[in-house]
Amino acid sequence: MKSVNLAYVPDAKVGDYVVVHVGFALSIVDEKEAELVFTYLREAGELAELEAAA
Amino acid sequence: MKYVDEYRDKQAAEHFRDAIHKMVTKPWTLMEVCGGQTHAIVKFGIDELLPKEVELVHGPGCPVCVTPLELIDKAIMIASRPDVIFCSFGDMLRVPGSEKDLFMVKAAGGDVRIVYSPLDAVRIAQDNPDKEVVFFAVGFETTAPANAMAVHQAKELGIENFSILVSHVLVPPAIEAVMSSPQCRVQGFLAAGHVCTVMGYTEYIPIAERYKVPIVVTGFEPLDILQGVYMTVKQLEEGRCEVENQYVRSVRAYGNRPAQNLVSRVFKVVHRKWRGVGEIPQSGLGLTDEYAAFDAETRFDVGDITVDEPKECISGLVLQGIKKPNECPVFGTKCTPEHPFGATMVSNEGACAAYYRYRRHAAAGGAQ
Repeated sequence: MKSVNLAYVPDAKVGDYVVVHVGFALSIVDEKEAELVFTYLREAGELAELEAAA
Repeated sequence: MKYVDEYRDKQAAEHFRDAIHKMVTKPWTLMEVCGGQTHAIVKFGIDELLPKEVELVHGPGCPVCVTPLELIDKAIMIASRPDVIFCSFGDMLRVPGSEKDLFMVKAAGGDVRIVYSPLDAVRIAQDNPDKEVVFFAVGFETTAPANAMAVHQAKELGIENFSILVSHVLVPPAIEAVMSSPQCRVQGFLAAGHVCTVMGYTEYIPIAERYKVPIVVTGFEPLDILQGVYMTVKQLEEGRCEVENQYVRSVRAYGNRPAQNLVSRVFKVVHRKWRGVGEIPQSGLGLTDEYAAFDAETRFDVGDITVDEPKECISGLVLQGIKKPNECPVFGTKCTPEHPFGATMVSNEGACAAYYRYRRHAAAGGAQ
């Protein structure tokens, strides 16, 4: 177990994922934004299937 | 692991690969700035998934690689003193100085310790009040908040036997140096996601405008990099040169303000020499007057030293994206991670080390 300094992410809550570098949390991972790329890919995938069916 | 595995998904990667293949009509040269990205690109073979029109060249974003030889030699001089405990990230120990490296100092009885965080070095200073504890503060903007906090804590706690040997560098002036080189072939940049997590990306907007290059802030997993390439190539094909953010799950436009605040209190912008590249104006950080007492370079009067670079090493050209590691005559033969000529063969983030680890056998057939 490594300890992580949270001085730079004062809003971090239990359950958050954080980006850590040399013992310091630098950002809280934005779950909604993290999901966006997959939403885009799913939509693109469905579009490609529609194109293939047409 | 969450936020890692899904960004290595094969189907998703194939989607971006196909989208890039469909879109590209002309040859484009892109540079990934960060050594962490170089490593991921070579490890996962991302460059080999791309259409032949899209070439990735590797940038100067390896802090170990660009730390000037003078500072390595100064580190060796300081670490050799019997009253010093010298602390560093592990990568720095094998970087060759003019005559030896820090591992040799350790082997000869010097107290050289590998630490995970600069705060570990502060603790060592607290535990060893009869010794001088020096931390080798290398890194880009990503590491500056940690090093700033270490110095700040030492000052607040009155730990006088702690100091840092500073070799901090900044990404935007390096991008400008790459673009200003007459040999420059780079038409678009993948900017470093973790540097921008700290600094945000507004400082890249004038650079994109001045040099007419798209800059896409990009993460480190294969899918991040493929999406970053997709976004950059899309801009190039559409004739745009904007700053865009692929790594939205970590990077906010203005970065991490609390981190920036402490960094700008502890450090000021100074000229810095980059190994293999030369001096770049306003390209690094040094301690401000308020924290000047913690500067190891003045605490230990190491003075001016002359250095000796190996003549065969082309790491300067590799760091500027002008040559690939396997174009070097000594790559993988005389120069290996066990006997490195240059720092690019040492660090986990160095392009030569990445090629040696993942491409050594392919290299026999020449550059792709």
